Amino acid sequence: MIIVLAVALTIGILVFTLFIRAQDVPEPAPVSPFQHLEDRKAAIYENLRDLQFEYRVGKLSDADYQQTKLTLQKELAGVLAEIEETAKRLGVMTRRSAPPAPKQQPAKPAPQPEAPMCPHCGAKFSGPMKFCGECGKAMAS
Amino acid sequence: MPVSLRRCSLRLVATFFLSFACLLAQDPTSVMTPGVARVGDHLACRCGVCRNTVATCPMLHCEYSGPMRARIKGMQDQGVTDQNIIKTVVKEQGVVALAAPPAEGWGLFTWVMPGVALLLGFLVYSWWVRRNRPEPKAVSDADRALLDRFRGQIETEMGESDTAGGGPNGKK
Amino acid sequence: MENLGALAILLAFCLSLFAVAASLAGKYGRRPFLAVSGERAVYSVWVLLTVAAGLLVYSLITGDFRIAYVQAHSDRAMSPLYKFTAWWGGQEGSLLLWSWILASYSAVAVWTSRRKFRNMMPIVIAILMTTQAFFTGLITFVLSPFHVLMAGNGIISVPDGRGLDPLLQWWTMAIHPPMLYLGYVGSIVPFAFAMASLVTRQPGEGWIHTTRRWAIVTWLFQTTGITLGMGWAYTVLSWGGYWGWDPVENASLMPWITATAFLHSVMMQEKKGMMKIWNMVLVSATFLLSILGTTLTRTGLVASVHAFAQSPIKPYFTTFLLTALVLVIVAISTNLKFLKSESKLESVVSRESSFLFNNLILLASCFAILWGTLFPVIMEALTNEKETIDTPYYLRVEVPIALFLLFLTGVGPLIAWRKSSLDSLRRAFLVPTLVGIAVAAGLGFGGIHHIAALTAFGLAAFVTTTILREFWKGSRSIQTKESMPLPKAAFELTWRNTRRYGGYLVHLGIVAMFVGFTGSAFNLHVVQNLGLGQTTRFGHYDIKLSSVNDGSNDNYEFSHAALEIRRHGRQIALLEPEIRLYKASQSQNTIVGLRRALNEDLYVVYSGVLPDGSKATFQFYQLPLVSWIWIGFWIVLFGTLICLVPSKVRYQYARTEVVGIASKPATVQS
Repeated sequence: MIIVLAVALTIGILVFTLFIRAQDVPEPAPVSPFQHLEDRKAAIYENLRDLQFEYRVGKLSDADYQQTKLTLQKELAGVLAEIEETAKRLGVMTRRSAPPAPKQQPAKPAPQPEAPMCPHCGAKFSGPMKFCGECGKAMAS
Repeated sequence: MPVSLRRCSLRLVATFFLSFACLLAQDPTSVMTPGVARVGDHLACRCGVCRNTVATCPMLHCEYSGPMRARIKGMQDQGVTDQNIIKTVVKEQGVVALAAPPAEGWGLFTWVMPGVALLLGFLVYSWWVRRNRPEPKAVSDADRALLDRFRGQIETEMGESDTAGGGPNGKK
Repeated sequence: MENLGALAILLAFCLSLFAVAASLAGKYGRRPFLAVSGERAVYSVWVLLTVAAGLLVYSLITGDFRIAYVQAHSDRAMSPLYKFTAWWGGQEGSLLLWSWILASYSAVAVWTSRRKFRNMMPIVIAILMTTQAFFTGLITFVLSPFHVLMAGNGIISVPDGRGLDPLLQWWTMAIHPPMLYLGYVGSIVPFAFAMASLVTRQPGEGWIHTTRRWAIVTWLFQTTGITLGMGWAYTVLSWGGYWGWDPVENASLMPWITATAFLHSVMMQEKKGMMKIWNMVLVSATFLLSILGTTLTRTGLVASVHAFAQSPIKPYFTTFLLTALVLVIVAISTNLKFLKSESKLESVVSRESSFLFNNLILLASCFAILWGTLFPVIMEALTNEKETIDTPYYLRVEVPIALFLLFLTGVGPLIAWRKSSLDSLRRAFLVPTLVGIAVAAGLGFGGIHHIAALTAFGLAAFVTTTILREFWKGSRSIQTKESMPLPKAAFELTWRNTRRYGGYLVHLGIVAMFVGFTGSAFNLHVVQNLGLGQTTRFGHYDIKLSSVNDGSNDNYEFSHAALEIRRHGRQIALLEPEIRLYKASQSQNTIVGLRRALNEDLYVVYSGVLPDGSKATFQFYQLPLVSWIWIGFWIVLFGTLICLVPSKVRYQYARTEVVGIASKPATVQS
């Protein structure tokens, strides 16, 4: 009895471990080259939110708030620039996807403003901008 | 004398106390004087079961602390000073009898090292702070240009997730 | 039966080795099927160890006294619960529990992260399974729980076992070891992920997001385990204390301290990408200290109350520990560049800086404990001279450190991230500081002149005020903005950022615990002989010995005293301390008479009867504020659970997606 159990256990375990069918090997999931930059970006946005909150509850002086906000925005701009850099370096086309709606409230689709277009090079942007993100010239025509 | 107490556990009394016959002669309360506690606080209980001092060992019939207390009491009754009692015990057993090593010789290491570690920590901390401190400079033009270039995107992205999430810290 | 158990452990050992080899070959030889096989092996190891553990428990419950372990750690009279807990009552069983918990954690970690971190998983598995191979190797070749009793060439069986130590037959003790093990073994998962991200050089902080929950959960287990141990020592060991600075207790505290430091400094990496090296060091230190703790507990490296005999496994543990230490140092020092900080420190007066400071102090306290624990061993080896480091050392070194930590607990939330100007500081500190000083002054005038205690109470008031103000301000803000009643606003506030406000609750619990610890500065202790019917005055209690009885049952003989406790002439409690002599183990045990209250506990130990039988001897302890330690623990538990609840709103941001290959200079639509 014990011997049978022992043999069964051994064989079962070995079969489970060693016999891998082709379909058991998963496709390698595509990893976005932007993943860690996106994470970084999200982290800075969270920091900005925290900052706003702390300011609102009165833990920060005006000057501190303004200065830290500027620092954070600067960091953000750095990350966004790096995303562009990366895209250029890899030679890929990218698009900005809308954020997935949080589960709490069924999202009302945010009204997208008319996509502004650079009068100089023709690049399109989703938000209003002073300078073109592509050629750097003034957007206002 | 109350009957129930005398009846109480002759057997128990036997099991508990036979092995500590030396103590039976003495009522444990009589050797727990403040003077004994004062000296006992410097001496480790070496029974091997606890980490207390002779003064704080809770086992009244402790094989080590019990006799030690009686001894301290005896020496105090003869007029020996606290310091000399401790010296006598150390002479017999070595510094291992002390609850904490003396701040001399090797024992000094015991006391100095945590402080040294703390100091080292402070040094590392100040080094780190100095290394990570950015040069205080105003926002440069390049920064400003970069910021302006992305300001729109930053504001829309913050705003977008705001309208979608209705979070606590959104724009007022 | 025992053969099957031994076979299962042997197979588990082989499969752990296989998993290491297959994962590494799968990754570096680019053979995905081998990597999958490595993952499967992890699950198999869990199945095998579960079978082995199940067989051991089955033997314990059915009383199979042919097996040496069963004979040594259980007897027929024990209740099934304690028979079950005898699984970890001895050396071999404990190691089996260790392996089994490790196997379970490994299986869960592999299952939950196998897709997300395909690239990193083989390394994670290799680290987990190397450790597993070490432990299963020990219980296969050195200390098998399935050894049978032999006489000559035959297996023999004995009629009854030696039983579990009666001190351990107590519910808190039944779950204290597994809780601690869950905590300490759990620390290996963040360690494995951290090391894997280092070796494979993952960009970003992926491992931190994955492991922070692990870190919190295992921290909670550690906290629970330590507190259970304290509660057990307090109610069972009858010495009026809960912490003895014993090497084994210290061993359990050290990884807890580094884990606490890690939970704080990890926030800096998440928020700013700073302190990466430091976090690696902390996560490794926690793992290594857990192993060191197991070494201390299990091998008798240092003389300890938790007297486990000198055992043959000491050299194995020491080798494992030293090898791991060297590998960690090599791994970190060869990857320093990869761990470069992404941002700078804006100001010395900032949350970042206060976190680093708190880490520094935590590590200093950890080092002081480590030093006190190991220095006598080192010194004996070097100079052949023995020394004792007992409670006085720890109190003198740790009390100032602990007070400073308490101070930092309050300061942290008051300083803003990145930079706080003097103006902001003044706003934040004014009220809490005034409250703290007022409380200390009030108590000082009220007749408390113990400086450390006054400082502790003042700081406790300071920290409590800061935390309550955090809740108050946040709730008010939500209340006005969304016009909801204040309690609901407070609830909403907590739910929106569970980690932060759960964390504050944990701090509140820690403060309560510190208040409880501080109470020990005012302990009273007397030894008193009482005749029947005699009354004595102790503290503010009148204590009368009303009866003494003795008797016997199947398990033990006992002597039982009944004491009436009066205060202002009114009876407030009847305490019944007891002495027991267990028949099977011939060991003596005292049951404490305990009256718990929020302000102080009255703790009575019955120590025996005078030789002439005229009086009974009692030890009375008046222990102020002890209950706050346990209350504090419940608050910590509650706060930690809140930290684990996902926040109500998770913001998502626009993401960059690759839509195709650019043929000419990329058109980027931002």
